[in-house]
Amino acid sequence: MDRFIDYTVNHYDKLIDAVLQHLAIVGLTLLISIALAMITAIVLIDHQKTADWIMRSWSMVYAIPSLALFALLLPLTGLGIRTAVVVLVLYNQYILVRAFVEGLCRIDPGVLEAANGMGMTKGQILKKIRFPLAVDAMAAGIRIAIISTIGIATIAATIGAGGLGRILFDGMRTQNSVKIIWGTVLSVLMVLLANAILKAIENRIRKRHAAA
Amino acid sequence: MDVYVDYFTTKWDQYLLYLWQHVYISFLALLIASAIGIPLGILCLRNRTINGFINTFFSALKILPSLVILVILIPIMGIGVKPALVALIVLAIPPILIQTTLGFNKVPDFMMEVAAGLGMDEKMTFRRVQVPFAMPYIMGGIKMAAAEVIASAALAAYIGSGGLGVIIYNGISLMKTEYLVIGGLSVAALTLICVTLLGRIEKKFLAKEAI
Amino acid sequence: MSSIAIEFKDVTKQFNNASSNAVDHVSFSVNEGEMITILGTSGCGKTTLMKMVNRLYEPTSGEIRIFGENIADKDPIQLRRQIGYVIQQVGLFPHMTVEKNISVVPEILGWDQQRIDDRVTELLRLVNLDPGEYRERFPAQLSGGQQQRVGLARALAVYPKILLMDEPFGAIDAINRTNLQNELLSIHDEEKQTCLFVTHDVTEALKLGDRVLVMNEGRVQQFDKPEVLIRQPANEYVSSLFQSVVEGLEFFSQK
Repeated sequence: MDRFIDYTVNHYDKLIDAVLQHLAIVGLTLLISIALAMITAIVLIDHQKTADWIMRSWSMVYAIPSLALFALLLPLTGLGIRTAVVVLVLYNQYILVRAFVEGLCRIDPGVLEAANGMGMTKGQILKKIRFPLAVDAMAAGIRIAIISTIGIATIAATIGAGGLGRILFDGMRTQNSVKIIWGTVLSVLMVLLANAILKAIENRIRKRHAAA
Repeated sequence: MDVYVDYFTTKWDQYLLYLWQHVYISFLALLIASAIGIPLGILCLRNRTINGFINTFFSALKILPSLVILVILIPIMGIGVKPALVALIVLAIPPILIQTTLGFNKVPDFMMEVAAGLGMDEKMTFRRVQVPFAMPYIMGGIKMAAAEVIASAALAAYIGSGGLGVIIYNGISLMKTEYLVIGGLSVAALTLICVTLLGRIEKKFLAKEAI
Repeated sequence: MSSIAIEFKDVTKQFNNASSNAVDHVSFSVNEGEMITILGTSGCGKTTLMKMVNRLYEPTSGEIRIFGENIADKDPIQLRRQIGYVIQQVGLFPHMTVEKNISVVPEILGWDQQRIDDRVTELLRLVNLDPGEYRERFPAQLSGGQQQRVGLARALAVYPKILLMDEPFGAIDAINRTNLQNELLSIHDEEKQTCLFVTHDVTEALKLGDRVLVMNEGRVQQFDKPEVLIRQPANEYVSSLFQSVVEGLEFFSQK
């Protein structure tokens, strides 16, 4: 117990750093992932066959274990955050492109026909009809992506990206229970908190939507 | 290119050892996880409260990073194959359990009515009607668990359980590209092969009960 | 002397990989202010025909003119904003209120808000929905008949000279259908748009149409006033259409 308090008091800055690093990785990844997936999804509207093919490709990428993908990209993009973000963005495409495409394309055909018949351009239909109707599905997808990213980012510590994984791995290597406990507690807290907050946001969005 | 040939000529038996360790621990974990997860999943059907409790517990477990599960056992069990195996089993149970419950829940009510109408007792209905119906889902769960286990077994190399992860681990610390590529591709290939095979079995079960 | 609102000149539509033409060398003209019902069984080409007017389908050959202008020369999006379009599924935007649904095209055209609000009130009154009560409702809160009324209001928002309606009352129950038909007739009397109304219901076609265009297998069978169709059917197909109605009426009169 003393060892625990000792460590915490002396090294809490390292813990805070790790948390912030982790959040930075997740944040950066998410920005890029969402932008990429959104562009992909918009381009794929009305191109069902290409969409299927792209989804299948991303699902194959998603099936590759993260350590393996980190390892394979290391020679190309080097150690550190860059490779981590690249890999995390790639994994997120499977989750996000699927959620975005489903949201944007699963529209009642009668609604689309009326919109076309009224003389709305594709852009106007995207902005006024597809998007608002897709928000629920997109929010759910983003939540899943965030949780997944937080988890896989812990493994990025193996390639020098820092974050909470660093504490876990350090603890593991040196069999330091204090580090292991802190690493675990912080990771679990981050995941559970993120999940709770995101679910609450999702529910708020869904309620504002449910017409009556 | 020669580096790779070199590796395989000089370290072939080492590679095979790692491969075997990886396959062995993954297979064992899957087996035990199924032995626990499937019965638990069936138990969830019978009892509402247990269902609720187990569901919340394993759903929470599912979102935790797999690294955490691996590491958390170290203070208790130390490092090596045993804690790794336990962690892998814990990681494999949620998908199997959830899919088992799902599969049995998806048996259409009218089928149960027909079975009762034909005079089948509970055991028969279970064996002849419910199980075949739930099988594709159970196989799906095992497939998901397999992917998770093979991936985590690679990580488990870091806690001394051997396996293909060791090659990757060494590749990173020694900065040897060929280790990274060989390790990475091996794990990736192993996952894809297993998932495809299990997927085929899943489809076979699905075809069997297509009405 | 009213002008010719819609003119089809030898129009043919063939879909890819189709063995026959959906619309086969069709020519006819519609005067301004007429309500034309297009009648035929499923697959006769009536919907395809109508959808070429707002260029949701493009003719394979032939020309279509609206008020003298060849529609192929116009921008299709602009064209559609000048033509009202009502379909059977209605297609109200589920995430928008009745008010917002009706305002879609006026907003796109840049009307100012006051003008839009007034027009919404006017239109809701026209289709017999109390504006105060219905403006803020969502489509999910409306019955089928109410939804279709809103659909009609939406189509009339920017004073289209031409109105296209594709089996709009097909999904509505018989009693409400009669009400809607009567209301459509009175709206038409007031507003006098040129209207193309597609239906497979013979009585509806006869009741609503100033003239009825009967189609079969992509070709026009007869195009004339309802009385003329009944008394002088041009061929067997046309007379068989009425046969079913006659039989129904005979059943009634015997009871």
